[in-house]
Amino acid sequence: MKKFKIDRRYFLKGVGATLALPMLNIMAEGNLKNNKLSAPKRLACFFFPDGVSMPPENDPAHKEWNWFPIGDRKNYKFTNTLRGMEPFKDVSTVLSGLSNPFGRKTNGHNSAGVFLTAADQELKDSSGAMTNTVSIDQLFAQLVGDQTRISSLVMSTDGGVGLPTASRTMSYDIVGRPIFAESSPRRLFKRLFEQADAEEIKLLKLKKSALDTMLDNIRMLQKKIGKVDKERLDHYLQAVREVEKRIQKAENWIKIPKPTTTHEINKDVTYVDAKEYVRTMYDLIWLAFQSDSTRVATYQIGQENASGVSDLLGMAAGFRRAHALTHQTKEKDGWKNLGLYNQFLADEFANFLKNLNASKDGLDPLLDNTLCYFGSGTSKYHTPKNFPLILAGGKNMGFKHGQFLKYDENKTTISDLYLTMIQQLGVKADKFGISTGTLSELV
Amino acid sequence: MLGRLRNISFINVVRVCFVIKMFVLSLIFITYSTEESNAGEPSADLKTYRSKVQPILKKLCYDCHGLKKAKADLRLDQLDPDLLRGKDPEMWREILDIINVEEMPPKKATQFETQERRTVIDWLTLELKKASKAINGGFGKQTSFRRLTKYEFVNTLVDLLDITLSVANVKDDLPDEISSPEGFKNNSKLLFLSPDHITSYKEIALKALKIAAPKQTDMPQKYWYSTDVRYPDQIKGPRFNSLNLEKQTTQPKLPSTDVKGVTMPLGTIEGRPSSFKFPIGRDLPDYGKIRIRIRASKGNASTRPARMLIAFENPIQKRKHDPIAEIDVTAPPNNPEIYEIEVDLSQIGLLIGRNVYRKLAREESSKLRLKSFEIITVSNITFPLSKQRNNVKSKKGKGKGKTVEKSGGEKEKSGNSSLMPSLIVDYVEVVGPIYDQWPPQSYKNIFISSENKGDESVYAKEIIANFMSKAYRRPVEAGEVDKMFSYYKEAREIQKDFHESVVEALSVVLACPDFLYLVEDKMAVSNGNSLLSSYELASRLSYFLWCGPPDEKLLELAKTGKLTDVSKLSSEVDRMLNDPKSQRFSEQFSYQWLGLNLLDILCVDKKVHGAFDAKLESSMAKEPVAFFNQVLKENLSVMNFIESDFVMVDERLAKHYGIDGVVGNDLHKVKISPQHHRGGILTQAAFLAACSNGVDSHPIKRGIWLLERVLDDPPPPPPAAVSFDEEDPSLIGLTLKQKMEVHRKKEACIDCHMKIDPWGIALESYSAIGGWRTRISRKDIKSVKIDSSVKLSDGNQIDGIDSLKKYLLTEKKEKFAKAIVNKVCTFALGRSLHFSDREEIDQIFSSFKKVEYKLSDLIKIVVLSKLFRSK
Repeated sequence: MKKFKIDRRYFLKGVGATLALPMLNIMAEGNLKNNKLSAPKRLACFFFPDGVSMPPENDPAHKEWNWFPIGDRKNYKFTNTLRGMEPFKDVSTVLSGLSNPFGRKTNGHNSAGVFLTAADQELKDSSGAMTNTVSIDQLFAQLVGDQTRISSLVMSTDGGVGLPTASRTMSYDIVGRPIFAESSPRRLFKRLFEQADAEEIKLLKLKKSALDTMLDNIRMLQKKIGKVDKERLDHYLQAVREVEKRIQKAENWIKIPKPTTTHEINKDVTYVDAKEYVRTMYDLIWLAFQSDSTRVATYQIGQENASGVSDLLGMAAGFRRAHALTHQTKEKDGWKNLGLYNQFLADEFANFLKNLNASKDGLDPLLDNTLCYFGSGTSKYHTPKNFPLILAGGKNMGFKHGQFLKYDENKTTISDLYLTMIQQLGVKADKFGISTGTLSELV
Repeated sequence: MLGRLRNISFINVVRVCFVIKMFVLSLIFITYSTEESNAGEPSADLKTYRSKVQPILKKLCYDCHGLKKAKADLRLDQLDPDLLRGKDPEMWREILDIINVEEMPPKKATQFETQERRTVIDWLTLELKKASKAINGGFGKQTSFRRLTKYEFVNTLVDLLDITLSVANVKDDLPDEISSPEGFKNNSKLLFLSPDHITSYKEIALKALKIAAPKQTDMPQKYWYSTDVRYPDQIKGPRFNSLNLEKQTTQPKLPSTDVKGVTMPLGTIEGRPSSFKFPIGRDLPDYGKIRIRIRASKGNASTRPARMLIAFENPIQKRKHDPIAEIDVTAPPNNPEIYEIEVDLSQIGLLIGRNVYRKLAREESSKLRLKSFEIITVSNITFPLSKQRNNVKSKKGKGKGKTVEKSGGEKEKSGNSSLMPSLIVDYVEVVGPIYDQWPPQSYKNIFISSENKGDESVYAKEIIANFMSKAYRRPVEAGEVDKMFSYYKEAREIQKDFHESVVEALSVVLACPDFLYLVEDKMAVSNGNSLLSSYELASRLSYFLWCGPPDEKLLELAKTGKLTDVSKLSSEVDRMLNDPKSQRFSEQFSYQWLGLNLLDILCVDKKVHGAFDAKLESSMAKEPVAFFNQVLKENLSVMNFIESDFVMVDERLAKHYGIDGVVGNDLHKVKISPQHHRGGILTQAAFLAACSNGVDSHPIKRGIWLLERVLDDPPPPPPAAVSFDEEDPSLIGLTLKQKMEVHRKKEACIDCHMKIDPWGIALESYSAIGGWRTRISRKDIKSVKIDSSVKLSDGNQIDGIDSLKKYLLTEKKEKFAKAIVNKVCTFALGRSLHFSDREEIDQIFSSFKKVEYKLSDLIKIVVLSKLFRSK
């Protein structure tokens, strides 16, 4: 980690969370010179399922609808698919050739759960059960989560956790357990911007009492059960303590008014209005970053293999179901149709970048302090190779952009990208997954 | 099991969180070694080990299981010879077994001399006995103290609150449990808990309580929705016209029967044709019961009943149906009858969700109005009789139009459909929400009648005390009630009304460990008597045979202490197995034992297997459960799992198996003869398909499955960094069997695969979807004859399924029976078996043998065993 002139974390711990928000602003203003070093770092990760349009080079559709740009590292042109990224060409990098070697043999229908963890999809724990490892966002949240009201936002169109092989969340905690993803704009908005009323403060108190009551029950139980049992009951105890901490944190923050937003949000929009829904989810992350409500967010735009309601997001591009598009590329306009859907996804990402770029964080655009990661765990015909990936923003973290990087999958893996990302975000790590080094072209 | 226990040293890739996770997991292992033993207890005889045993092992075993090589991931030189305090007694027990049956050293290697063998076996036997004794005296082994699994949690809410709820209702709220190496989800040491669990438990409990005990003033308005379809001409095609829908608050009159309704030809479950749609309004709540009434008759003089499928359709996801019910329509033409079912709304649309528009479009003018209706579909799924005999020749039909193969109900070309009934529907009525009384009985169970109703505080306390003892499955002490009552009082200060505060307090009861865990009071153990208390026994019994809480009868027997009486206990097992709730046991046990969750992620290539359709998929998944249930209910020998003269099939599955004369959509017992090549679990499509890759059979998966599930002898995991590239050019053109021979030649693979592959090869006559085949064709090779002859690792030669079954029934009969004992006991106890359980397990086995391996006798033997009745 680079040395800060003022260590914000230390500072925050010293004065207590109640002062956090106002002081942060003062600090940001007062240290404009140091802004680049001490500005808070943020991370937003987006995943879409089932790969992208990649017509063969001899197909006329290649030039128009190939997801990857045409050209070399410095000289490259976006096709129609990524045309929305044009204004952000200099602050973004397109990566090709990277993938998760564990997944290359599989059918590409279960890459979402390991997209941000780079683990083996078939990873089993000592009991033979499917398991996972920590995702990069949660690793980063470990570092910065206690500085904001919300440690991290975990979102997906389908919501919940899904199954290990059909994940509905991209975020996995430090021991590899899935974190529940939120799908409702209303509930997200409430967490972010709706002021707690007296009722809610009282309810928070009641929640604490409920936990105390559970703890009472534990204490009574502990007197009865054996030593091995006690250790097992400790899982429950620890879980209750963790929930207690969350409530404690909420209590500390409840006295500080929540930020407000003038941006209009349609809280009741659902996946049925596909385009507006995706836009709203992006907007909520942007607003959450802008108000410094959190610094970490993940949004899984869709579940793989057409198994969730998210498959209907195809409607946003004028189709019905998104997954089917990937299997109809050989039909008339097949590549184009898939390309149009990919275009919609990229346009929304670009719109997110636009909003971040227009918001200020100190003197710099918020985008410069936000690392944005966008992509899929599969490519053509959803084979789990050559992931279509875009990295954008995060200039102040040292990212070099305006590139189209092509990697050799036998030498470089997605773990190397992740190690690069988390290091620049300030996580002390010299290895992530099966990484063998960082990507020097990026920083 | 060898090797599985050693997985920890096995994973070679460093992962960021790995260490932490392993730390958590290893806590359990550490507890083994930190158990202190009482003073004066025997200590390990390390002297004999060093002077006599180790030199023998060194001479004969260390070459393969030592510094140079660690075959099966086992290093004898690193095992702790202290069986009393060390961490490896379980490994030593397995080693003893292996030496006992002369599996090791391998035949080609130098063998023990008689005296050497004796020395090793004697030392191990004695040490294990000592260790087992020491551990049984203390708290050394894994205990059964555990939280409820997800499905047990749901079942418990269902039984306790008298509501309808299924695991699917909470699928997004609670993660799935992981399976233990034995295959079970209720293993005490694997049931971890995350903070999200705590919040979810509380929230689910609160929701469930509100369903069970709605506010008295919240009586929902009941509506009748009726559609008269006697004038099919006015309905354009097989679609509904919302104008036909009548909504009213009183029961509508039945239309007369002088005009015919819509006739439905044969339909399919997955296809869309010929299912008729009926709107059921958009005001139905999320919970509560509805009654669906359909007036229908057969459309012709067929002697068979017409099978009517009622399904729920989500207009957003039209292609998918959620089946609600299947009803056999027997009414003759011109004499229609009313067929009715009651369904809980919470169970509708579990797979596809309810219509999201229904709450959005309130105004009649809204353009969402049409979209906002919820719809049920009615179709005729009477299965067409098959004339074909051996019908699994899917490739023949390619490019020649429809074949009989593809039919999930499609009309047959060769048509004997005159025998098939058509179905006429002329009136559909839905009413809901319905309830027998208001407030419902489930409300009265919680808000009990009391003379103290007038005094809010006293009444609340009564409610809480009554509820707590039911929820905790034991009497509660005043102190416990007081704690919960004081929480209620706090809630009462904040919340608007009495009802809400009581429900809030009860939801905390359902999030407390006393409810969520199966508790055993260890302090009540006195002088070596470690038997469960009668209440604890009631819970262990009910979570074994009902996967849910004890009922009033069991708790009553616990209260009077009669449950611990052996004859009473025995008659309770009979009662419980006769209760419909025992279906949960059949389902959970067979699903988990046989690892059928693999079917959920199976992706069959329909280009290769045109015969595979949704109906077949659902029937094949039901078969193992139905088969297990049949063996249990008839108290048959478990050897039926290896070979039986009957199968449990419906018409679709029978067709898949080439069995003639089976009619109907319900799985039932059908006698078979040898030419069908079926019987037992090894020939069930569920297992054969689950252990395939969706395109072709997968002999290695099948072999491992057989070792793990049937023989309880799992192979060690493959060594790290050994890969087998199926696309290796040198393999092209080889048959699968030949490929596997190449594979086996690799030095790192041969030892284990000699044990695994032959089982799978013997099953090669079954395709990826479990169809019988005599030839196989693949992309890279021409059609070849199936070769299922193979030499087993013990030298026996077998050829195909029949000789495999014969071999298992002669050579492995006891091994299989023991495997069943182990599996049943593991499930019953909710924990892995321990070497110190050995003596008890052996006794159970010998009793089991005496009753000729009958399944429901085994259940009784297990329940009556000391093992089951002890903490």
